[in-house]
Amino acid sequence: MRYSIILTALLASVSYATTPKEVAGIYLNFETKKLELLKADFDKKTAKDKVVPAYQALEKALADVKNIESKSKDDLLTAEGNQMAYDLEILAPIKDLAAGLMSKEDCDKARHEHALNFPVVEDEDSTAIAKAIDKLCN
Amino acid sequence: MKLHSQIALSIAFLLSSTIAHAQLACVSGKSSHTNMVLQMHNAKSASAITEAIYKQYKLGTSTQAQAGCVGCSASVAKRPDGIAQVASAIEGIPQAPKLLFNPQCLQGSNNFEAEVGQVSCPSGQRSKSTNLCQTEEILNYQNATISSFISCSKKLGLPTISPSVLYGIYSLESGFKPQYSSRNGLGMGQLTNIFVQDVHQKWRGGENLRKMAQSDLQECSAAKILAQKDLKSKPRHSNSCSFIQIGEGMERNILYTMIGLATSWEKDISPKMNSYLTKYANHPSIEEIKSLLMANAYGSGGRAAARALANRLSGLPPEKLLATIKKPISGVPMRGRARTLNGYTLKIATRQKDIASKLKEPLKSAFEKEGAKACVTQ
Repeated sequence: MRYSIILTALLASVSYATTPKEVAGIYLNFETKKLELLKADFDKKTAKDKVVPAYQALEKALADVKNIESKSKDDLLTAEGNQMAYDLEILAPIKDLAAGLMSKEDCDKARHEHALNFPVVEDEDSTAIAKAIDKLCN
Repeated sequence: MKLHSQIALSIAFLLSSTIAHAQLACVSGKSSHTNMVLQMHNAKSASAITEAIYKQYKLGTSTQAQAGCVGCSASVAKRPDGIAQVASAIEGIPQAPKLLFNPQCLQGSNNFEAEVGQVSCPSGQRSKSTNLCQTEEILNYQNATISSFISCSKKLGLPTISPSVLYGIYSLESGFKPQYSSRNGLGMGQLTNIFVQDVHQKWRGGENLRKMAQSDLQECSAAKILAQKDLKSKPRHSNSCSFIQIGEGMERNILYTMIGLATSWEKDISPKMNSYLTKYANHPSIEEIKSLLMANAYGSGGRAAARALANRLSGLPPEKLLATIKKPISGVPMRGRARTLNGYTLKIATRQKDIASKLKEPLKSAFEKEGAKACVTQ
């Protein structure tokens, strides 16, 4: 976990020269919050209060990045903004599940959406998200 | 079935396969590897789906000369378009609907070879040393099947992808080789298990599958047979031939690609771009944009990447969006690699460059100039 954050911070600091410093800072904070969300201690009773606000904070971070990008002259799309948009999409099944009733149908949907997000290759994020879904559905 | 009729059928089958082998002109594969040719032969006599498509597109009749005539008699094939139409009028045969693609483009794409297994059907045997013969007739039948299912989807009001982008998908996935099977993917569209499941989910593609099953449109005659059958009994991805064998499997593969693309547009991409689509509804580039985003959702990058791409690009005006989507749109590198949100459409573009070299003039020049749009006849 600590290693991931340090690595991310290093990569963020040396990433694209076109990235405004503000964006790099927002991204670093986003990535930390994302990892915290994936590791958070929540269950069926606490998921709504823990997951939904955390997800909304991540959405706000992307909105902030978009706002900075929109001020650039050349319709800048930063790598950080792209990554954040992607991360929000892969986290969406957990957020949708937490915001709903967590019924069997909700769980089937979340698992299906998650599988559609990773049709071929699974990675660390994929495994962590699958575990979080299981936590709310088993 | 009684013994004597079984023997008669077997003799007819052996005779026909011997004749087919003797006359085989393969567009790709080895002439001694006749499994697909036999599948085609059997489908013509035993598959209601194949019969419906042959009837709809008048395959094997002189009117198909209008689309370049592959798989019909050589004398008719040599007639230019205009003459073929006059001939069919004189002969009193109604014009068949046009096939979607110029047959030469399917042949050009079919020359591509991948290091993947090929599945023989109905056995389901997978082998890397097999190189099944594919004939012009089979390619022509694929062309008709795609044309039929696109036409049905349009009539039903389902979102459809532009034919040129669809050509790019098939060229990349299999080079129009229905027998191809990679580790996760099957057949022409290299369908994965989750893609097949998606077509059947009631809150995802199931609704579109039902629309096809309930349609009484002439354009949907073949799609309807398949959809009705699959709603009764869901085909299993683990049974490869259910998505490969000509007569039902290959057709199912194409139908599911159409439904899957429509579903991903409706459920994944369009909700991310509602205000954009309203704002630029009449823009000349909007259909191309929709098709590229739809195609990207089909790729191995997954739906999250496709939705993220739509999210990121929806702030750009159409011209800028089209220019941007043709370059890599990547995330932050992790362990030396960055996720590219539009990796699939970039791969399609790369394959298109390879195909141009396989085409003959004047199509080659047209393809180099306008890409796969040069392959679309409608």
